Amino acid sequence: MLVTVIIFLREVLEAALILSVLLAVSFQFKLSRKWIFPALSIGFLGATISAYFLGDISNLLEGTGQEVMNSTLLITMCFLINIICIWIWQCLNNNQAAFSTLLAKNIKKILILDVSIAIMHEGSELSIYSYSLIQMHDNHLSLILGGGLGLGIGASLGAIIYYLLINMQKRTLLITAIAILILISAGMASQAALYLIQSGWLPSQLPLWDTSQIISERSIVGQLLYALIGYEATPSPLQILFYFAVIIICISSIILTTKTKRHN
Amino acid sequence: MESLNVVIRKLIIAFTLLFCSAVQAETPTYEIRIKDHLFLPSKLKIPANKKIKLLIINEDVTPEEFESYELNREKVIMGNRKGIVFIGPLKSGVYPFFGEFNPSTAQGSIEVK
Repeated sequence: MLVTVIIFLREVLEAALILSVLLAVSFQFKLSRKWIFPALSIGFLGATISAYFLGDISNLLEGTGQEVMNSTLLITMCFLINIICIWIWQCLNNNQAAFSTLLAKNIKKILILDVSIAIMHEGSELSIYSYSLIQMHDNHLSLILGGGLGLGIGASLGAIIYYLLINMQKRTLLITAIAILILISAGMASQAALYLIQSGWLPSQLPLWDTSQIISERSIVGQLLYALIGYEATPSPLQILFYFAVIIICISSIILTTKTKRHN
Repeated sequence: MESLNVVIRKLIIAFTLLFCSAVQAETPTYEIRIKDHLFLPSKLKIPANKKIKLLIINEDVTPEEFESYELNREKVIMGNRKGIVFIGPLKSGVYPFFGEFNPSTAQGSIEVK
């Protein structure tokens, strides 16, 4: 049952983190948080469908379909998170921007898309795992208890982060949110690079460093850091490149879009 | 704007070449089977500093996830399906891997020499 708890928690953690940060930002801007319902439904539907077809998806592109799909989802999320960060920064500097700009008018759609992709990406493995437990017959109790516990711990951590954030001062909250979102998306980009290396689309290289003796990826700290900043003990040079490229692109796009606004 | 287009075009060509070379490169293949939630063979020897292709064949009806923290790899392989995972180049050492869905039995390691 412990295995089930860990698998569920690992997958839920990152989606819960993104969800709680985006909910806290919506709360700060007095934006209705009802977008969570379509986001959750589309996410669960997407997870079930992609899990059902995973065998066929995997066979595509000479057996690399699974990796190409995962990295596409991850890169799409990086792009959406970047747009969300630009929106938060615009609102931080100009209160009216939260409602009036073109970006603000479409922000709910972007939030829904981002969260549903996050749930689809994390949830598809959970559906496959749950299905395998059901297939093995004798494990219903372990699935219900373990899965429930894993989901519960993940959701509680998300709730703690949400309440910590909404009790912060507006400026601190928004800057913290942008920082967390940028780090999460950098981790996603590094993960996307890893999938492409695993499937042979990008060249493999020796890892740049090895910190597994200091913080093991198996440890709880390692798992938390993985969800938060995409921690890897032995990253390849390409992963590091993707990681910092996303941070630089995100920060510079935020600065560039605010500058053009001021000139207007 | 024209120069930007040229740059983008060149980048696309460069990436296509990179991808093609990465995919077409001849790499030695090693097979691992999953049966009754066990890896067969559970110990595999591969050469150091060389890229290799792992062909993982799942003969169980249930899905399994091939996972290794040391190798930085994770891939779901559905029941009665197979999957490929490229690993290496690696330094010599022992790299454990496991089946995330059945970690109590599905354990193995790759020895790099």
